Order: sequence, then C-alpha cells, then structure tokens
Amino acid sequence: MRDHDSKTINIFNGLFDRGDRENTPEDHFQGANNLRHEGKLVKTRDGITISQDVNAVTPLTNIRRIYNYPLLTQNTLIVLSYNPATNIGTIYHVIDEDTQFGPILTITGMTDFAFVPFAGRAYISPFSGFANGDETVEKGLDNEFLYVYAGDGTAARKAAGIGLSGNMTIAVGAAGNVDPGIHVYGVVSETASGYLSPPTALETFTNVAGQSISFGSVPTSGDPNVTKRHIVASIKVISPLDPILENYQLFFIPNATINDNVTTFINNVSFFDQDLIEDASHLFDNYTEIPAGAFLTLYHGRLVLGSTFDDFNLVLVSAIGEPEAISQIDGLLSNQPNGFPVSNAAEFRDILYVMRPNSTMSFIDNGDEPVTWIPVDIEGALGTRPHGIAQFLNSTTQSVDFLIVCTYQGVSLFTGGYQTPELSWKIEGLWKSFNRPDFGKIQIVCNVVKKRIYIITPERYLLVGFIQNGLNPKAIQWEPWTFTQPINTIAVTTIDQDILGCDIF
Amino acid sequence: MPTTNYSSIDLTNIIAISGPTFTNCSDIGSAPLTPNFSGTFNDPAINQASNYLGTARGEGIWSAVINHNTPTTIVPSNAKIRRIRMQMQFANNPVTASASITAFSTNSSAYVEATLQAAPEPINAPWITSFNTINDIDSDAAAGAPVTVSASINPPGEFMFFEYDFTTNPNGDFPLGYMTYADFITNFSVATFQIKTISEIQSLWSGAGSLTGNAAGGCALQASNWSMEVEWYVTLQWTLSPSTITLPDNIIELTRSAPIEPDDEQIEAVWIGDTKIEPDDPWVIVWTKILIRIHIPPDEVENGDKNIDVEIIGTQFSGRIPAGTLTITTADLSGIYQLDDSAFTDTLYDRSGSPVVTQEVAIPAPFFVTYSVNNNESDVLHFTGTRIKASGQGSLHQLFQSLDYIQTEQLNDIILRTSNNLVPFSLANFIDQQANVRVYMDTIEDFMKIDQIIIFYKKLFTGYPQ
Repeated sequence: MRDHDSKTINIFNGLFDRGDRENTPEDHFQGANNLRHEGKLVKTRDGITISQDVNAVTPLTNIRRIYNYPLLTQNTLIVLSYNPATNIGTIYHVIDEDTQFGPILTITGMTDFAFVPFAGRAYISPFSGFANGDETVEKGLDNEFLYVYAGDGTAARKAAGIGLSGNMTIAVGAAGNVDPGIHVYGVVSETASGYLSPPTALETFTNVAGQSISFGSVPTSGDPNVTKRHIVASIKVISPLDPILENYQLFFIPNATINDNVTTFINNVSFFDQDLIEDASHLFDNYTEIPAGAFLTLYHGRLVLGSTFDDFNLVLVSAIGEPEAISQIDGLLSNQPNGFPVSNAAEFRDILYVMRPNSTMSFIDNGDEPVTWIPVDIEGALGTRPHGIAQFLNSTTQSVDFLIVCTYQGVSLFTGGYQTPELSWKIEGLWKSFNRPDFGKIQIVCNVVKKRIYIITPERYLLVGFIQNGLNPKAIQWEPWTFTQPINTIAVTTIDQDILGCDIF
Repeated sequence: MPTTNYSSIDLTNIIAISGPTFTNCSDIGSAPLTPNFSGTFNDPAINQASNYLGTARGEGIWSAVINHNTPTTIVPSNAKIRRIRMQMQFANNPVTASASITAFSTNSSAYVEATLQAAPEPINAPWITSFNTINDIDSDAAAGAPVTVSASINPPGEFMFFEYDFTTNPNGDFPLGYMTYADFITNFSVATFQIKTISEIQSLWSGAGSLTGNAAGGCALQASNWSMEVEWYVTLQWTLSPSTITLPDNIIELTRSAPIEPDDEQIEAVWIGDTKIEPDDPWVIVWTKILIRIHIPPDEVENGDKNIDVEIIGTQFSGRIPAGTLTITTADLSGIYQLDDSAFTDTLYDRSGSPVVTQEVAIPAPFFVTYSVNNNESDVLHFTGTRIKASGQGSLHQLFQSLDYIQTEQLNDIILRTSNNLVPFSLANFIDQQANVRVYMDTIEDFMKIDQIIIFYKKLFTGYPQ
C-alpha cells in the first residue's frame, strides 16, 4: 500500500494471557478459540463425531469419567455415567462403537472413580468430592471398597475377600513321607484374580511317620470367583500347644492344591517340614475388604491406593504382583498430615511420588515392607488433585523423562521437582482465573502421536497445548476449545484416538 | 398471671427526641439514643387482700436523619426507582426495658412484666409497604416480704426495616409502578430513620398490711448498620435477542442503534448468570459498539430463566445492570464423542425423538485476535486494510478493533476456497492509536487455514485534536 507500512504476522504461537492484553507479543493471540496448529498454519479445530453407533447400541449419557482400558488383545473404554437426579453412578465397559457391557458396577454417590489396569483386569475405586470447610476434598466413598472387573462383561466384584468357613477332617493316608508330630493345618482360597485369602479352618493333627495325610470336608466357597484352594501347614509344633492356632507360622504345602471350588477332599499328601518354604502367615494381616480411595496407581508391580473416606491421609500399598494383597500392618505409607488429603500418586524414575493439592513427597522402595519406606518432602506448596497428572495411552502416567502436572500455579513439568517457568506460563492469567475449589474437575492427558496435551478445565471446556515445536514454556501453543455441551473427561485410546465424555447440562 | 380487680396507677412519660443529626452515613457507627423515664408510686395506706395492679409506661421516639450523597454514581439520572429499603440494626448494647417493684408488706407477692415495642416511624408514611416491629416481653415474679422483682428485655442484634415498594402503587401516587429519579432526589434528599419504642411495666402484688413500693423503668437504644437500598432500572438502548433458546442453538445477541457520542452505554462485559464474559473470551463471536454475539457457556446452561446483565461505562453511570432474561430449554447432548480432524462440524447425539439419531452443528465460532499494532510513539495511525493468505471454505470475517473495543470496523468478507492462488486485500479506513484484527467464522461447515496476515498502517497524526 502506498505510503503505508505493514506488519506481517506469519508465526502463530497461540493464546497469550498474562495480564494486560496490550502486552501480547506479535506472534501470539490476545484472544482465540477453536483453533489448531499444524506447522505454521493455524486452522479450525478438529470436529467431533459420535463414538457409539446409534443403530447398534443405546448411547450412554451423563458421562463423568472415561479411561482407556487395555485388555489383553485390544484397547477399550471404561466409562462412568452419573445420574444427578438419582445420585447413582454406573460403570460400563465399552468395547467398540457397536458393543458395550454393563452396567458392571452401580453405586450410589459415585460421581467419579479411580482406575488402574492390571493384567487385563480393571481395578476400580469409587470416590467423590466432599466439602471440608471452604475446600473440596476427594476421597473414597463411605463404606465402599476397591472392586475388580475381569473385562468379560461380568459384574465387578469386591477385591480381596474373606477366608473359607467350615471344618476339615484330617486322617492318616497311604504310605508316605511326613515328619511325625503335631502340626497345624488350614486352607487358603484363591480367586480368579489370584487373590489368596487368610488361612481358615485351622486344625491340628499328629502326623504319623511313614504315613501321608488325607484331608476331607475341605470347605468350599459360595463365591464363584474362587477357583482354587490350597492346604497350608506349620512345621512340627513344640509342646505345649498354643491354643491360638493363628500364632503359628503357616506355609503352603507343595502340591497340596485343589484346582476347583467343588472337590472336598485331597488325599495322600506327603511332605517334610523342610519342604515348607512359601510363607502363608502374612495373609492373616491382609485386608479382606480394601477401602475405596480417590486415586490408584502402580509402583514396582504394587497397587497404590490413597485417600479413604475415614482417613484421607492414608496410602495403601499392596504386595508385589498381588494388587489385592494389602497388609493392614505393613502395607501403609507413613506421612505427616498437613490438613489436605493425599490426592494423587505416580511412579517416576523408580520413585513413587505422592501428592496432595499443595505438596509433594517421595517414597523409594527399599525392598522391605512399605511401612518402612521413608517419606521425603519434595515440594511444600505444589501438588495436584486426582486426574491432575497427565495420562498417556495406557492409563498410566508419565512418558520416560517427565510428569506433566496441573498445580494451582499452572501446568508444570515435573522431573523430580517442578520446573519453572511452568508450561502454562503464557496463559497464566487464564489459569489463575479458574475457581480453585473446582480444580478437582481438571483432567489432563497427552496424545504423544498428535503432539497435544489436552486439559479439561474447571469450566468444562478443553484447553489444548500443541507441543509440535517442543515441550517447553516458550514453544508450546495453547488454544481453548469450546463445545456446545460441557466436557467432563477425556481419554486417549488405540494409539492416538481422542475420546471425550460429555455431561448433560 | 392472677386476675382479680385492678386499681391501676398509670405513669406515662412520653419522650420525643429528634436528633442527633448525622452528616455522613459512613461515620454513624453506634448511635446512642438514651432517654429514660421513670415513675414512682407510694401508697402506704393500701391494704389489699387481693391483687393490686400498678402500671408504669414510657414511650419514646427517636429520629436519626442521615445525609447521603446524590447517588449519580450509583443510580443514573434516567433510573426508574422500583423499591427503597431502609434498615438499621440494634447494637449489642441493647434496647432495654426494665422494671422493678419493691413492695413492703407482710405476706406479699409481686409480679412484674416488662414490654418493649420498637417500630419504625418513617417519613413518607403513606408510601410504606412493609416494615417490621420488635416486640419482646419479659416477666418476673416473686413472693415473700419484702418483695423485689425486676424484668428486662434485650433484643440485641435485631434488624428493623421499612420498605417502599412503588411497583404496588402505594397511596395511588405511582401509577407507572415506579418513582422517578427527580422525585427520588426530592423526597429522599436525606435518609430519615425514626424509631418509636414503648416500654411498659405492669406489676401486680397482693398481700395484707401496708404496702409501699415503686416502679421504675428505662429505655435505651443503640443502633448501627444504617442502610438505604434503592432498586431501580433503566431502559437500556441494548436489545437482547432471542428471548428463548433451545439447545443445541446457544447464541444470543445484544444489539442497538449506532450511539450518539459521548456513548452512555459502552458494554465492557456481559454476565450470563454467574459467568462474566469479556471481549477476548472464547465464548465471543463478535463484539462491536452495536452488536455483541456470544455463545452461552455450557456451565450456565440449565432449563429455565437466566439473567443476562451487562457492565456498561458511560458519562452518567458505570456498573452492572440487567439487560434481560433468557429462557433456556436444554437438550441432552451428553455422551461419548471422539475428535475427528477431517470433520468441519460437530456431530452430536439427538435425543429429541426416538430412536436416538445425530445432528450436525457448527463448530462454535473459531477466531483469533492478533496483537495490537501501533508505532512506538503511539501516534494516531490510519489502518488501510489487511491481506490474508488463507484457504478453506465459507466466509472469513475480519474486524479492526481498537483498544478495549471502543472502536471497531467490519471489513468485507473473504470467500475462501480450498485451493487458492490469491492473497486478497481487504480495504479499511480505521483510525486509532492501536488496532488489532479479529478473524473469525460463524457458519456451519465453514473452516479456515491461515498462513499469514499483513496489516497495513500509516502514521496520520501525533495526537487527537484537543
């Protein structure tokens, strides 16, 4: 244009909101909505399509939470639908657009749930937000428990379980090899998910040298999920006999397993005391019902659960490889209360980080029981609420080198400490405008293939961070995405498919 | 309470006090108004075998007259006054009414009852439409000789109010259902609180032999937290439309004719329920001096009526006022969705009928607002247009906007094509010290891809004419 200067804008780096809009840099927007970034281009955002085929199923409504649920052979979704009129939360298992199972779990008051997959099973913990003065705290529902779902459409059941009831009969069997003398015997049940119950039906019997042992009237379980029963025994009892038989250390007898829940006898069991290696006594201390909590995660093959209704400082840790085996004595992580609940946890570089909304501490597995792990305070002001640590494809957190955490300060990279400036530095004004009591609504996921971070905001629209140019405060491009309906939850499934869960108004 | 023949002794002392006068509402604090009354009686010759009634009564009226500033910064001069509420609070040093009777005789008993009534005695009384009073009664009794009884009542912390509701046309003086601002200034040039209290002591005693005694009482008043609230409305230049919406449609507009400067109703923000929407927020489609078009935020969508307020700045008034009421009918759009980067619309569940089907809606107005272009000296610039390198489908809208959206200019739309060798120029004639460009789309199936935007400007003046 004659006599006119020009300002060329050909770099678009997304929304900028740090106080006065006049301070917006040349390559940023002082207002924006529903845009995406591809290379240098800025384009209209992705559209949304329905995820369930209306011709094949009745689409679910009132969606509160969705997780990607990896089965052994495919990725599926586990979905919470909450009806505010009845205050009932119902969980479904959505296999694909044409197939859904459920309801698999229905609980009054379940407005949210924690989830972790383990060996193809789903572990589910119902929780909700409760008023605590001016704050809202997330914790497990009162008188509710951890549930396990097999992934096959059958209803979820309470994890763990009580032992068998009844009395065994014990007699001398055929010729065999045993150490003579008084021994204590009992039975342990095993469920389909591998949970071992406390030993029950304890009896004493005097072994006869050269003769095996036969067991009759072995108790069965009314729980159809029990698939095996194991006979356990002590070594020879030194006189006098302690009448409290639970005080004796019990061991699994090799090859003394009934591989069903029907047969009531096992005959001619031979063993020497020196064959008793695998301890079963620790099973006495386990929870038979694991209280519900507000978060679940995995650490070194252990299930970690935290923030129960009766104690929102409580963090429970299971035995290695046994997510339902949590000792009431040794399976606790000790930590100093600070008035806020434990609200999230994640494993990062072999360390378990446990967070409250306003603090972060760490625990290291020292190879001993969890109760011996020493807490180390990492951060005294920053933490996060449930769903505030970015999930990647398989519903577990972290990539290799970082966690992405939504704190009250902003969206931060966590690499053992919270990096500053935070990733949301450019939109600090927007982040600080969110209502703090509603931070429990925030959920963050990362689509690594699309190079996007998705954040459900407290105002129930999407905040998208495009990381195509790098995952750092300067290169990230932020854009709000709004929809006609409110968005409650988001998940990434099947490599890079983004799934949204929308609520009724 | 025993009932028999009475001979009453009536001690009545009416006290009327006007003032003290306070000159500044904010300096009132605690306002002690403490007249007392008392009376005695002495009847040594009484020889009653039955109950003897004595009464002492006091009545006091206090006035507090409070000046207030002509509230042009609070109530605009074109306001129509709907209601006025005057209120005060009794302080923790309470209104008290007490009585004590001392009777000396043998075999005597006495009963005393203290009554307090406090009620407003407001000015402009024919227009009062509601008020409250405070009534408290306490009593005490004793037997034996000598007899002393007392009673007191303490209503600390209670509020007293009176209201003028002009919408009900009190006294027939407000047929339009409001008081004009001019009349408001005239009739309520000061805020006057008048409180009347009545304190009454009744005593009843019986006995034989000589009987003497006295009755005394007092009434003290401390009040604070004076307030005067005015409900008013104005007829806005802005019109809200539509008045009803049914989801998934969720767009509302505020429109007006071009204002005459100085602009008395420049909108700074729109309130939808509890959500404040400002010009750069994601919910905004377009924001000019004569048109504001916005999406309803999902968190404010619920069946029923929703208040829409605007925050305006003007020469007469600045603040938040109602713009209208929106009736919303919701639809169940909930469900599981997935992002589709090949889609240019949002496909939603449609549960308005059976079975469930789908419906297409526009992606809520995608837009961006560039940074504000100026020169380093903040001179007055002439913005002559833009050149945008864009492709896509549909009409691409552009708007020059000054700081705080005081001035805007709509440019001609660019019709996009998916394949495009042109970088079209859009002419403008916009003069301001700073300007940014809003680029947006607002129609279903429209989409844009923007690669570059060039803004042309030239220094025009170093300042505006003084």
